[in-house]
Amino acid sequence: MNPFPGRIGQVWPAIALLALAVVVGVNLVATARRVPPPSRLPAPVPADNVRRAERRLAPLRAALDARGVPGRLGYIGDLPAATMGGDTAAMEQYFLAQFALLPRVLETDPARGTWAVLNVLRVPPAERLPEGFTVVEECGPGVMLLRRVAP
Amino acid sequence: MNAGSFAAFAGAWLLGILLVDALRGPGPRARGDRLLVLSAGLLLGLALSGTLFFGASLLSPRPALAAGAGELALGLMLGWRRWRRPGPVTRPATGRAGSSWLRWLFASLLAQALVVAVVCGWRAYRAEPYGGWDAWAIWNFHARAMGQAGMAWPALLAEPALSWTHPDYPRLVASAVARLWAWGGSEAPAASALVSSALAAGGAGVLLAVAARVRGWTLACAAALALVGTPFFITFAPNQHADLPLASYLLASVGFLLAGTGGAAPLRGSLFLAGLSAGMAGWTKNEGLLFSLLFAVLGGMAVGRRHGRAACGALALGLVAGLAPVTVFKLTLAPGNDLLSAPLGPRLAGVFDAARHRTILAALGRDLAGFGEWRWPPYVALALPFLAWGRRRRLEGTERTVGPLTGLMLAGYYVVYLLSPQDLGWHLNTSLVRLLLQLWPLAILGWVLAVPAVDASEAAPVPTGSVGMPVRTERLLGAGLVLVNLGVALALGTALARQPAAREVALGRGAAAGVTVALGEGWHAPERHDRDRWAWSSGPATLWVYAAQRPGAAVTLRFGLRSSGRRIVTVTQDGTLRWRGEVAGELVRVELPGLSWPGGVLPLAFTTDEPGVAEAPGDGGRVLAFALFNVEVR
Repeated sequence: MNPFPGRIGQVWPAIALLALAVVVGVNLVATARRVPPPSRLPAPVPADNVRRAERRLAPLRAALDARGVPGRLGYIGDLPAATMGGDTAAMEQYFLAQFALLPRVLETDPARGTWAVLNVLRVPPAERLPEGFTVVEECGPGVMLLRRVAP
Repeated sequence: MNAGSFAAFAGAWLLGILLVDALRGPGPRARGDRLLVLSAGLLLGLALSGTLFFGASLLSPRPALAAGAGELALGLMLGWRRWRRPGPVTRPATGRAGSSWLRWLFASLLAQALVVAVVCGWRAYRAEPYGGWDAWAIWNFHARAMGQAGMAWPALLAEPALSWTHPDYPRLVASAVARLWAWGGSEAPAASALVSSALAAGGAGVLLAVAARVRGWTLACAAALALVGTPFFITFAPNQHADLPLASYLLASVGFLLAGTGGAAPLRGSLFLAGLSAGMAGWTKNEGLLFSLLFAVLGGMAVGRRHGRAACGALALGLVAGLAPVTVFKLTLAPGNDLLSAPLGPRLAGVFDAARHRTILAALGRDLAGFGEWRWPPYVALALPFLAWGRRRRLEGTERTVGPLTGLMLAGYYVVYLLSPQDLGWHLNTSLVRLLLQLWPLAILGWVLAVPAVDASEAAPVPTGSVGMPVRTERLLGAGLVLVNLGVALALGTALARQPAAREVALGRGAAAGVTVALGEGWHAPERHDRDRWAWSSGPATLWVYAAQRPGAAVTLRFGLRSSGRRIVTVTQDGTLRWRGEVAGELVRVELPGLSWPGGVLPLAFTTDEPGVAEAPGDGGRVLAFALFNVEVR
């Protein structure tokens, strides 16, 4: 059954399209309000997490390059490997560190290798220093390059 | 991002244009032809050049140069073929059209919508230059590995410790990004955002071109408006995921299928490009492999039934060529997929688990309503034209494949969720909206194919020049619309440029232009109601007045203060008292004249003699001291 026969039926699709245009307009205005422009003030620290992590880990990366540390390292974060999987922030911190330190591979079990990186934000570094490792270089707040000294 | 990356991008686009223009076939010129070449050229150029880079990265320590040589050779070959091919047939104008004001109106609206979309996309990029979580943890991660590990990148990504990056995921997007990074000599996030945005914009262009070819420009602009008016599409375009690129390759496949079968004789070149695009969908994301399969079956049947084996062969040849990279990758380099490698037996039990069906259907209902992040979902508006049921359009030939393709893709996603070894709620919450976005452009194409005609002159695919109002009238109308659009664009641009950032509360005008007032520490997020804008402090707080350079000229700051109880509020600048007064429930007007500083940030410290009071938990539980209202800088 056609509810709009005749002339109305002919112009109705055009009217309906105009309604669509109105809906699109409302959505675009809402989007412009929801997605504000970037701050005009220079930020001392980058707002996005990836840039923050890259900047934070840049000295560590330089230290690894300078010492010729090979491709595989242990990773020590805020939480032990066993509980890290259930903590989104800890996983993000680990993933971001891995992204920043490519092509090196970070393994959450530091027992396997000679070198390890310590990357903590929420706990004092001393709390997470593993046994048998010594600090080779401090690379900023909560970031350290470690080396195994005892098996 | 530097000239090297731009040149690599332009080179890829040129290669794609040559590819599409050389292969699409010498049929009569139709509406949207040039746009189709440009848009699909962008998609296929980035795909082709990225694939060459991918291959070169396995064989050469300097893949950019090796792949560049391949691009040059291919470009010359395609250019030669294009030069040798007869040009498209342009049919002479044969008649007059009815009213085309609606076409111009919608073209104007689309242009204005594009201005807003580009600005919002730019803002989304600035907020997350490396994209969202999956962008840097998967797609850009793979691109960075390709660039930093040299020829050893397959071994690097095969490391068990990196299994969370999904090393089995197809490499089209990562290769295209790695190529731009290699040519640019740096891993600029702008380059990966450019690839991401271009692959989304190319899809929108294909939608516009294909809809114009089949239904005319008015409906094509309406379809493009529906897509560009989807907030999630706009903000996701620069977000460097592979979902929108996939959506674009799905559209290109169907677009070339329609273009290749729209006339009396099939255009084998277009059908080859249809197959190639479908293959590239599989090279973009694993979901694209499902599409390739469905497209091979449904597209092949539709083409074979009407146009015979030769046409079907062209489609199959394109599909084989498009699937070659992903086939080689999956067979030789990719580890097992996390969804497929889990034992099938226990997962099959999910098929008979009513609770899983209910969970998926509930999520589907929720996300279908809101995946586009619309303020007003467009479904009712999209359905309205169909009330003129007598004028609905009957689909013909390969047009009938669009609905089943979309529906079967959705059904495929449903089955994947049903069999997923992951936690179902988490899996749905983290992926369903993106999967729906993948299919949204295809659904809009389905809509525009079926929607009743708004202009009889555009109801059928006709060559350029056969319809239209007299040229002079059309040019006058066009010039007028261009002027109107420029005016509207200027107004839109001004309004968008005057919009404050998230924690900015005032922007200077006139003599105070360039001065920004922003909330520093100690303030809750700003709120607004009608014309009032305010922010509550939790106690001591800082207001930043900023200008890049401000030597000499002083500004005046005006604002209101109020509090839920009586308190004394003090404002100091570098320890010097600027204002002190009692603040209570009534708004107190404050004026700070003569603020002068050489440039940079001028901090104004707000303190109070009474601690903040906690809100009721139901209201948010914030600690509130005093509120700053309607800041003005003069």
